[in-house]
Amino acid sequence: MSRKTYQKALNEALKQEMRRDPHVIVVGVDVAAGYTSRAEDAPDDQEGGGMLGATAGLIQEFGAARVIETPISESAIMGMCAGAACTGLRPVGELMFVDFLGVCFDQIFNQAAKLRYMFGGKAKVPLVIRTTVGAGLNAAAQHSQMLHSIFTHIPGLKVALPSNAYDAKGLLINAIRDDDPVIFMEHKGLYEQVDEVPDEPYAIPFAEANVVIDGDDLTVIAFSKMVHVAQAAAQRLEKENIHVELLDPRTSSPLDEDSILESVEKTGRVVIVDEGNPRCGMAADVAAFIVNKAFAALKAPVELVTAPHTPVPFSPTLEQAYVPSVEKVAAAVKRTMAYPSARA
Amino acid sequence: MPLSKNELMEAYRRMRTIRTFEEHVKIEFERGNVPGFVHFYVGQEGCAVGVCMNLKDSDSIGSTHRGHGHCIAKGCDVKAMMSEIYGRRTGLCGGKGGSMHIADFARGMLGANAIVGGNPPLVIGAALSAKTLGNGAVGVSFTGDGGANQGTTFESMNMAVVLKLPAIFVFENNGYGEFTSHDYAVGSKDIAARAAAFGMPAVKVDGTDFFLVYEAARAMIERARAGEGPGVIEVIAKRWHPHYLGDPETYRSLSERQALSQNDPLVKFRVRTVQGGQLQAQELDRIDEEAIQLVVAAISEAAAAPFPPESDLLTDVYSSYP
Amino acid sequence: MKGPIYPVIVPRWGMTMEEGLLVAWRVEEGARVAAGEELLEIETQKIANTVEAPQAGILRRQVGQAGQIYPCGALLGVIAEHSVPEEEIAAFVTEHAQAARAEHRDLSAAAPSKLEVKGHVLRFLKAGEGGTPVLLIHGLGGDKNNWLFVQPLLAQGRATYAVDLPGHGESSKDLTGINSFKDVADVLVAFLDQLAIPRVHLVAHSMGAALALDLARRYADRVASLTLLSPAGVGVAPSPEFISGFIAAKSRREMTAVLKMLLADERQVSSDMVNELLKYKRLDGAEAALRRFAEFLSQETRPASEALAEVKSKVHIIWGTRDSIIPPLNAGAFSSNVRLTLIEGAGHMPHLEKSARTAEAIEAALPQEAP
Repeated sequence: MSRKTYQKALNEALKQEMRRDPHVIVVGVDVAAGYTSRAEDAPDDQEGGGMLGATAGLIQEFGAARVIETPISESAIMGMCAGAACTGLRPVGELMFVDFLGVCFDQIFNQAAKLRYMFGGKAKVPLVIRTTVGAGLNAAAQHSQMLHSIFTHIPGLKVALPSNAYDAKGLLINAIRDDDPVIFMEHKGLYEQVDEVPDEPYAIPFAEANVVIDGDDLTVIAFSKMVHVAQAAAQRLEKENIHVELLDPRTSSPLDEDSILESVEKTGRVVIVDEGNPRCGMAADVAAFIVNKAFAALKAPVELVTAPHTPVPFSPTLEQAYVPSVEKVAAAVKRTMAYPSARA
Repeated sequence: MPLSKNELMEAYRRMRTIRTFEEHVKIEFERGNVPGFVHFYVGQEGCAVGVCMNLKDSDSIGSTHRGHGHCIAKGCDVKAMMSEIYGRRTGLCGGKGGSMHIADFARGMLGANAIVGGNPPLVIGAALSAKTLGNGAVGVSFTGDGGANQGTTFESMNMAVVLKLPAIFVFENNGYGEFTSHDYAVGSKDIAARAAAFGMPAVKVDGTDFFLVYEAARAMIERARAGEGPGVIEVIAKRWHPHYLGDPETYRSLSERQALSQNDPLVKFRVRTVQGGQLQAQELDRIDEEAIQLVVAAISEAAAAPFPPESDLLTDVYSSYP
Repeated sequence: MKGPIYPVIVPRWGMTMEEGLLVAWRVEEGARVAAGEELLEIETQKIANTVEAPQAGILRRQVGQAGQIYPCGALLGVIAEHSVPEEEIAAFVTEHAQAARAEHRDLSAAAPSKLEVKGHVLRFLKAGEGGTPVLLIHGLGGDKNNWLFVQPLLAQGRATYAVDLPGHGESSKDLTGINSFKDVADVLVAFLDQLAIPRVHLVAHSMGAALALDLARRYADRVASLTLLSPAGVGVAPSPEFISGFIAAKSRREMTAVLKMLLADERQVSSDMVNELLKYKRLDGAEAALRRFAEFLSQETRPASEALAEVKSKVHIIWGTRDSIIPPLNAGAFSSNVRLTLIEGAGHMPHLEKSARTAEAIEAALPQEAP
């Protein structure tokens, strides 16, 4: 166990699974920092690999047959990974930015997601697509989205959103061992996040929410980087004697409905924090579920703190206003606590 | 290497079975017994069988929405296919896929694909598996002249060359991508010629001649198995039926449709093998009859088979959930 | 001086703790307290726990204030009888504050070490120096951190080693070559050999006790004394419901339910405790290791008389009165050379639940050594 970054945790997960199972391969643009065609030139030290370095050191250890760099052809990449998955390999494909899903979505949602069902259970697609998500790096509209709700909507796909280094390693190991297609969404702003991460391999099951903070007054449910925003808000609110319970579902599909209900039944008040856009988003999805299943327990309407219905703007001041902030979360919590008196 | 007598009989059997299967399904569809859409492979039998006679169960193929022919050519169970088309629980896919998603992984048939251009990326994936696992298998993608213009096809061709994958792209030029003629839609007017620009060899053959297809495929497949990389085969064979059953085919002239049956791959095969002395007419006749018996039995069994229960709606979305 | 004066100080829980927040006093200044009574709550980044009165008396002074952070060793309160004059208390406060701080700084904040022994990597935490070392052995599913509150106290008198058994904590999970408690005991002896430690005081908890008994029987010359906490292996079978529940628990809910059986006060089952155990169980090989050890444990059916018969060293058994996992035997079950200390109000984990009392009991029974 030692303190590691999210990036290092992902890298460790990949290495340990590739060592354990020779069927695991890594595929994508730049995954070997340009060395697939000349693996013997790859430097010994852990240099480069992937847009954010998560695949560093893999080609040196596993060679070009298992660390496959490709031309920029996302449809071919994702489809090739799906085809390889249903014929004996366990590929971990990389979709550099989730925003690129448009150019390869058919292979993901019509092919990979549906092969098992359409073929009456005879196909198995043990595929992982790792992708980076999220705003905060001024990367603008086409490199900053979340889009997790789109994948969550598709039957046949699983979606994981680790919020910290410990979860990143355990969820990625679980994703690689899982026999279904998993969209593994890594928030770009979390790559430097540090946490105590065991050196040994371990798998965190899907649909197991993490209770980040125990509390009795109100339930906050947050995804990915918003867990940290919510945590900061919770610490502030603690000083005002509001004790928030913070849940990180870890996976949006499957969703840990039991833990959500347990918490809501205890507190009766809910704020959901999500960086996605509001229409048909995860916040709306979870809110509908809560209202449907736990209506009697609710003491106030469910509050949703999300990005607005806009693309992600470039200018730093605008981007800051786009992403849910600590202030907005704290305000939503206070409104909910004050209900029915304070309703914006 | 010339085909043995058994192989010749098998080739004819598969082609005849395809023909009989399609003709009977047409009748059943017109009677209202088959749900959804069907797309017939009649006239193109030589293509699927010519290629698949070079393949084993461990080789993979991907097909299009017009997939019955490839399925039968790859050795899939005809009765289970019929049940699938009828949407019954005993179907190859438990009734969950239907005509356009018919598959049998045990036979290396990775599925008919309802998305034009949908299978080439999957097939290069199968080729990647074969290369990585070192089992000498190949992946063969069947695409129409319509799918030849899809981005996924171009990406897959380039990817196959870059990664030197044992993948064969078979373009079945049946003259039409849906309702649009090949001559209009393929800007260069020559699908096979594109291969060179991608960096792989190509061959173009008359798809109504089983033997020409077989030979072209054999060479390309052996080359791929030997690790020399991908290739393209363009097979030319008009489809006899409209794009889907119900299509009024206003885009085809009457004379064109009338000329089709003069280029029948089954007749050509019979003439050559009987005149060449490799097979006897009676042997082929017997195969014709057996094919009819098989398909008729398949239909009656399918029609009597149970539909999937409502509980099957929710099964096999995932291996496990959560 | 008209009577002893006892300091109440900030404990060092675990080797990395530097300071703690005094959350609240449980007792008012001037109140009479019993030995072991909970005086105040301290919180660090990792844990929250209470500090108990080291001795009975009057809480003469609350030196520490709620809401303030104090370094380990700092004086928080003073216990003495009414007969001790005010001036002496005041002088004590001034003097002691500096001395205590210096003493605790000597215990260097150590990081765990590791050693490869017979093909197994063992992680362990060493604290303290000199004398005959204490080897702390945890129970099923536990690890060296179970000794968090107790090791620093014992380390004041001698070297102490808290070890993660094979399959547990951060030690390697592959149990190849380990088919019985004998094999585990052999690994521990090899561990001592590698560190050139000729003799140890074994202090072992629960399943660890069964293990320690085997070690003490076969390596009598290596064992100076045997202290067994809530012991398995003396004829009382541990609750099978607990063991199977613990092995099966996969979610927070399940683990919380199981851990409530472990402690006398359910409220002490903290989120952190639950999380740490879930994290351990997720490690590759952990669950398989637990099953294996549970199997070994199920074979320990000898009654106390037999189990202790071949042990040559002194034996001290410490048991929580409210232990529902391995309910305590009474003194009559043991021969007279076995010392029995009952910890009032503790469940199966007296070293966590009543740590000061337990440490004191352990210390008191350890044979004295010349400095």
